[in-house]
Amino acid sequence: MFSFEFRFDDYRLLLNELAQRLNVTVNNDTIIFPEHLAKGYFRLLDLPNGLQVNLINCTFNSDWCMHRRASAEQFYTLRFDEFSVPGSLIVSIDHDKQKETASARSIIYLTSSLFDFYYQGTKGTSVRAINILIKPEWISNYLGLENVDDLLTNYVALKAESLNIQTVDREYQSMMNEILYKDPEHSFSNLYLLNRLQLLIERFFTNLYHRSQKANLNLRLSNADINRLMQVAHSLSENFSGKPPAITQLARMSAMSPTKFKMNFKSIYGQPVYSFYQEQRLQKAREYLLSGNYNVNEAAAAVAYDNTSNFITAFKKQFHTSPGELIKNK
Amino acid sequence: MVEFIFSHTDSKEFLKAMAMLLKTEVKDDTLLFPGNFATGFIKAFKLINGLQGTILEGTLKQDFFFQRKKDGHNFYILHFDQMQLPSGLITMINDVEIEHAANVRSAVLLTSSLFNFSYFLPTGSQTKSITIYIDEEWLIKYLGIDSTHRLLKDYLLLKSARLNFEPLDAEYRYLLNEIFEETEHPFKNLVLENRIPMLVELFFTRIHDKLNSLDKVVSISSDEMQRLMAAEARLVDDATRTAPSIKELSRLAVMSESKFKLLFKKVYGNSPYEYFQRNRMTKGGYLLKTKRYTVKEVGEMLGYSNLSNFTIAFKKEFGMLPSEV
Repeated sequence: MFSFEFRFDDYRLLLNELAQRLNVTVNNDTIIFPEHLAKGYFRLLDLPNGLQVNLINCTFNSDWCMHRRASAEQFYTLRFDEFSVPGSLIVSIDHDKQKETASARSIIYLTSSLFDFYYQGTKGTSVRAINILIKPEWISNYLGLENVDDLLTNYVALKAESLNIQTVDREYQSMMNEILYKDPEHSFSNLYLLNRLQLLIERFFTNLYHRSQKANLNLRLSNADINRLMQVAHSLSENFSGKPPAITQLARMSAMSPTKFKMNFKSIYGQPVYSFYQEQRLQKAREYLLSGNYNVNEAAAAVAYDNTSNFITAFKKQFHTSPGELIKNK
Repeated sequence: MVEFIFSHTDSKEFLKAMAMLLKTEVKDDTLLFPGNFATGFIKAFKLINGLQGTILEGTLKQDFFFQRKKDGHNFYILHFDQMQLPSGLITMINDVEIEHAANVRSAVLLTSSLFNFSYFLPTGSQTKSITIYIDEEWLIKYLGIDSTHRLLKDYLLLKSARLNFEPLDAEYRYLLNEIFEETEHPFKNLVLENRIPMLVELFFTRIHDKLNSLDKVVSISSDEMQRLMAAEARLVDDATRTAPSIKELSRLAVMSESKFKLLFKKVYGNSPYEYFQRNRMTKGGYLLKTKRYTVKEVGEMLGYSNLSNFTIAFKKEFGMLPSEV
């Protein structure tokens, strides 16, 4: 297994260290991974306004582990991660471990350098990620908040992916694509990237703000409550081979009344239980299609659609492209 | 008449000098015009990325004459103006006079501190303007071009209004509105930090494309250009009404209907009706994003009596339903 451990608040040092570790050279701030480890690249964007960003777009050919050690100085990383995990993935924030198997993980969250953070994944994991390194002074100037720590500390203190995750929806996805697949011939590329990255940051913090305004009621949730809700969400995104579990059953799992369960679930995940389930289900189907091992009929059947045309309609509604086109354009 | 002659390259210094002239004070980087000069305000900003500039919104109670004296630095000023004037406007770039007969001007203009630049605004002028100061170091860092770059040279050497003045279209207007219409944004600095560099990107991308296809540009006189701007302003001034007729617009532009339609499409890239509709939908998208109105309310604000027509039109424009915003 390839394992890389670091403790940097400077992505340039990180890039150089990684290159040394892999025994490859850095070209245009980019590392092309050696074939035995992964197919793809790791790129640094070092923008003149003080933002540093890592772009990662690769598929691993071996098991891997990335571990950021906690540091005493506080800074934040805003992570936009799209993982497709045919094997398993362990995410651990401050020793709070979570393991996922055969899933797709498309989420956005903020981590603090005060906590240990690591990813451990199996061979075949594909990663598209944009990680933005944010210093507290920068973000408080940028947002115009006197003391940004109040907002962020509360947020980051919820180490678990509970209140803080945002899902990669269509708008985030197209914003990420504009950055990851920028035409190298594009004129004015620094300004172009700066604008796109700032829009990502703006959207994240604005959403976070709106959520935190609405979230007062959930702050009363205990960590145990949040964890149970996460388990429910996890179980909802694990198995699509039959009908989804009934609300009563899910409520029982979360040890809440059905009404309370529905309300809490929605405030944490931003959508009703079944619409969450449906999104995960289609996300799963998308992964099957992208894996190349499924045709449209098979993917539909794998997520329990008896009628393929219903599947196609639902898929289009979610991704604005038909399953057939997705395969074709892969 | 107020005569203001300056050569500042620092927006806050500019504001201080202006406050001295108008015998008033700057507070929170903002100067509220004393009532005898104008209503409204002018505000200076400096962004983290190094861009600075001013935002002006007001109606003048006196004639104003502004002149930026040339100096030896390579320094650029990008002007975004939405003006309504009781009479024509005279702009002078390095002693070359560019006169605007029309009483509406919505345009973008880049000037260099190597040239004198002045303009005269008569009493009663209403203006919403954003001025962005860009120094050479910034150009190199963010755009990868310096003052010797062909793009800047070619652009600055163009001495005709039809090429210098880039018309403000729906895309510019959308960004400008976000700056001017003070919606309740939780993070007050962020709108400027993000929208100002987007305006700069949009402008440079446009002139880059325009200069690359210069030979393909239709022949249109600067006078025609201004009359088109007047018609365009009418077209977008109220998204809640049905679109003005081509007849009305072509009369405003003082040209035949077929010529109007042809020139409008060349300059703004869409037919007048498409342009109207796009502007209307952009506004709808913007209102929905504020999360303060329901889909139904937004539909009504845009003058749709039938909500499903709005939904269909919106989907056509953005590829998603209003409820998905």
